[in-house]
Amino acid sequence: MKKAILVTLVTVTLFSCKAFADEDKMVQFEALPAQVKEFVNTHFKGVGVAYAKEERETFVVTGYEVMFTTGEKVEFDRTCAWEEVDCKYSAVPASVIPAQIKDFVAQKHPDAKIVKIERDRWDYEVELNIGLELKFDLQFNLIGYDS
Amino acid sequence: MKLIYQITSRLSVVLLVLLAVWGVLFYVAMLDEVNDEIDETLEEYAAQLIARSLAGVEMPTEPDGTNNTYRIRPVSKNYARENKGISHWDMMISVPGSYEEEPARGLTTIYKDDEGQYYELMVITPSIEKQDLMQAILSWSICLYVGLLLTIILVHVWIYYGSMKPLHNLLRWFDDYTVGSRKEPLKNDTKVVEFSKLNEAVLRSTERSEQLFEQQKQFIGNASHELQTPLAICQNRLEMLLDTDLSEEQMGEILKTTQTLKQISRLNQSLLFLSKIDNRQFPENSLVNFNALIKTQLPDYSEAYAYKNIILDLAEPGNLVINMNESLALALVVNLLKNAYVHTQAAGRIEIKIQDFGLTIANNGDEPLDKRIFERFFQGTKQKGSTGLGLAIVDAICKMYGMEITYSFENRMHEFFLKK
Repeated sequence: MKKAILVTLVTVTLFSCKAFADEDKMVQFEALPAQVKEFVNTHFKGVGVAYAKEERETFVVTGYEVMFTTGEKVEFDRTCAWEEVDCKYSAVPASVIPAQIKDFVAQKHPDAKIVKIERDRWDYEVELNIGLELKFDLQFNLIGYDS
Repeated sequence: MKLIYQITSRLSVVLLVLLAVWGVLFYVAMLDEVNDEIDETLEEYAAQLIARSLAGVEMPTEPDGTNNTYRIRPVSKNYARENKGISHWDMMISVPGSYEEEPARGLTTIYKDDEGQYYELMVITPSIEKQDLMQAILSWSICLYVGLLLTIILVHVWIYYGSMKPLHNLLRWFDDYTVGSRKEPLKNDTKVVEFSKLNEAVLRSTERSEQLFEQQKQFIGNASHELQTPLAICQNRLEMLLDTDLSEEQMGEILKTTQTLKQISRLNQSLLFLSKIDNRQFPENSLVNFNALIKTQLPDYSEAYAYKNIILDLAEPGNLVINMNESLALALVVNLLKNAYVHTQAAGRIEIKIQDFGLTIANNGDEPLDKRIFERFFQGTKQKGSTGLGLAIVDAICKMYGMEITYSFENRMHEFFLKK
């Protein structure tokens, strides 16, 4: 019986630790990994940082988020590669967008601006300011439209 | 307590503990997961709001249909430094248009704008009732407990009885078994090693007790048989000695010794008789009428114990006829009668009742006797001339013919009832 109580206590403690460990952490921009800083300095040169956040889950860093004072936001995965660039109220810097996608959009929607680009293990998602969403596979072939 | 009850009750206790632990863990995990989800949504919402405010886009006005509320206020650099980070908390908020308070979860975060001015954003969203979640989990845990318990117990009982069949067979067989009686062979086929070993062990031990019992019977028979002749010789020699020239005192001693020897001889004969009964050496049976048998014996006893002034009450509502050995029937009646006459006090009373189905012999007494009166050499109160084997002989005879002899004490009467 004593053992059972001990096991319960330990497990409950672990669970609560997990709950605390899940909390994201605000960090100074300077404290971010070099790769993240490099991306920011390359594509968002001279733009002020509103906040920088380290995302955690069970003691492990799962990604980073940087908000600029212009309201633009970049998210990075745990390997410090960018995952999402959200420039809803301006436009995604052209230097971030892969050439094939840039060309495709320029060709098909010459008036539209790219306001958000997301990528994950399977595809690229591009949002245009005209309310259209485009999906590309990893070889930059168009998969479909979403509105 | 039956094994099955013990196992079942232990199972229920263990399950109760396990499920309680499980319930707590499940609750914590659920709550954690829900909070995580809410926090994530809140952070997303906060990021959107910050982006809007920084981009100079018009901020949403409350209420926007999601029940989310927010507040942005400029804060000093020091405040920002002290409160950096994101904090989440639970609270109760009053719902517009209702007096009730609802649980909500909030988030505060700090950001700064182009000019280096720090702001604090506070976002609040209604959250679930933790109390509701806890109650739901509790009731579901109870359902799960009852359901699991019933299922496990049913399955367990089923499996238990299935696998324990050989054990119960063996126990039943063992219950019916008595040493010395003819036993039916043990039929208990099983593939289980433990049970077949148990079968073998039981069989071995019964055989062993059987052997010992047989040896003991033979030993008693032989010993008493061998003692007979020397005892007789002793008696004869003493009698011869009495004829010689002896003093008064010597003669007195020798007479006492002969008396004792006679008693030993009687005891020995009783033992021999008992061992003969046990060895079933009285095979010839005939129909014995107990009414007649008792009536032929009674006059001898009333004469021999006339000095005790015992009142005899003989009732014959029926005829008791039993198919048995005549000398054993005689021994049975004689021992019961003698027992009654010897142990009744002066001016006492003996009641004999002969019915179709049995015989009752009762006599006066003060206190109930020990249950062991049918055992050999057990005597409640030592009586002169009593061997302590009389009732043992009665019991042995009854057992041999499958009859039943019982003793009871009612209305200050010792009552021996022989059931045909």
